Amino acid sequence: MSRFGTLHLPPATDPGARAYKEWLHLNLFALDAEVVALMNVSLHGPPLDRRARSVAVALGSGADGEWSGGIEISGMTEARVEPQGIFHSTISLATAPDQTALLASVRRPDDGFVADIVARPCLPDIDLDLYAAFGSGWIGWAVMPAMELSGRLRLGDAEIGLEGATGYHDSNWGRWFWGEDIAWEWGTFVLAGGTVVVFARNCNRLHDHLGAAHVFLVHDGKVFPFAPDRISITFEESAPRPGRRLPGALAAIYPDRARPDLPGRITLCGESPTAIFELVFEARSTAQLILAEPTMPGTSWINEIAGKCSLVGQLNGGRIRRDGMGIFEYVE
Amino acid sequence: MSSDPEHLDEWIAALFAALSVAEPHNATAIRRLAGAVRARIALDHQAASVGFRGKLLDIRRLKHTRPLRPPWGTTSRECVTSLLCGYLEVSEAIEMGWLEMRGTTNEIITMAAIIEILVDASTRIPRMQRLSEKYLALGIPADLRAWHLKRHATKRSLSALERDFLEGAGLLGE
Repeated sequence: MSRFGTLHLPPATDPGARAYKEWLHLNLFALDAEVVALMNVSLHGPPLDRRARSVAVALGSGADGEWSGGIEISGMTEARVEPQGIFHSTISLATAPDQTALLASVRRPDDGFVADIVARPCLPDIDLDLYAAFGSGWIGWAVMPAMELSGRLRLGDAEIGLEGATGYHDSNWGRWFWGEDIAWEWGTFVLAGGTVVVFARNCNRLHDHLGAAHVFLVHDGKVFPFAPDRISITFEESAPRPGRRLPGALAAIYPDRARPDLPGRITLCGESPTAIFELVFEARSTAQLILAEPTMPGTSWINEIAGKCSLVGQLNGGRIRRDGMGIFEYVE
Repeated sequence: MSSDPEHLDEWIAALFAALSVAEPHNATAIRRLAGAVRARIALDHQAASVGFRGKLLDIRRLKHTRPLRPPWGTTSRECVTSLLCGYLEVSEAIEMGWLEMRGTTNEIITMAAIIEILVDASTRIPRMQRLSEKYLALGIPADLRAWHLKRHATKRSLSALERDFLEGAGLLGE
């Protein structure tokens, strides 16, 4: 049984607590409905500082390319923060008490997003915990790349069936400041039949100093890793401009970020002794999350690009050709 | 008796007071930007005249029935809540006339710069965030999402017509 972690809240004596960041993240891919959704709850800043923030986001991109959902921000002391999860009044993510599932709840009918999701890991316990230097500090990453989903999701006027839908869950934690010269590129691509490809690499804000790429492919219950030097990724064309930028107040003072230069077509290739694949992702819609550092000036932008993808490859000698959907984060 | 702001002048005073306590250097920056200029601000049917007397914010409630003397800025609660909820970009608000500013170039730039300082500082000042929450708690004046979707659909439709026209005229490359 896969192991869910607990939040890594810093103790009061932690000298690096000012830079504390952590989140729980769940993506949902309903291929039949062409829906991609994300739910995220996060903590920013030293927990005992009244400026520290808890941020909850739920956004879903439907077949029409429109984004439903919204953002809720509160003081960290006002949100309910417990070792197994973070609870806001309209968006919550937490591990179930028996540690067998991740539970997500969203109640934002005015923003067109209502959900109660149960996500159970499809894979046995796998060790996908990574740590890396990140700006002035470091970042940790734990991943559950394939989740079986149940529950209900309503986007706009449509009830989205979750039978056959796939989830992706990860958590990040560490110490850094928004506004530093830090960024990342991350993508999760879910193909028909439950094949999942995950890509991630840290970089600087200009994306011209790139860290080692991490790619793994999940297929038929097996994980196929790829060495960084056997991975290639190319960016072409331009993604649509963000249809939603949140929070709105920060979007208002950064009009220069309303049309970021984002990739509209991404080609990801990987090769290993047991697997070779090429995945092509085409952007359909974009949303932008603007993150401000709560204890000092500094801002970062997370661009969420949703779209369709297709994969061809050979895994353990067997050919594979699948279509699906994905989401790619391009951070600046 | 509630101490929550009710009139526009009270909201502005509360925001600046919160800024002055938490980030006095930014309050000083705003005073320097404003200099000796007084601006008029209107939100729906409420209006206020804002300036500084030395270090002190000098804000006076106005009868909005009077024409405003430049520099001035006007908007509506519908526009402000649409912006705060991420359903409207500032450029769109200006294009549609939901957000207007009048004055010399420097006066308009100054008003925008002051707003930018206030919004940026609010991300670090809990009291300003609570004021924003109280303002939104007054209620959302319209179905912002429906209106946003309708506007997007209209834009997509116009873009499609434009593309068809350009293609028909042979003006789009392969």
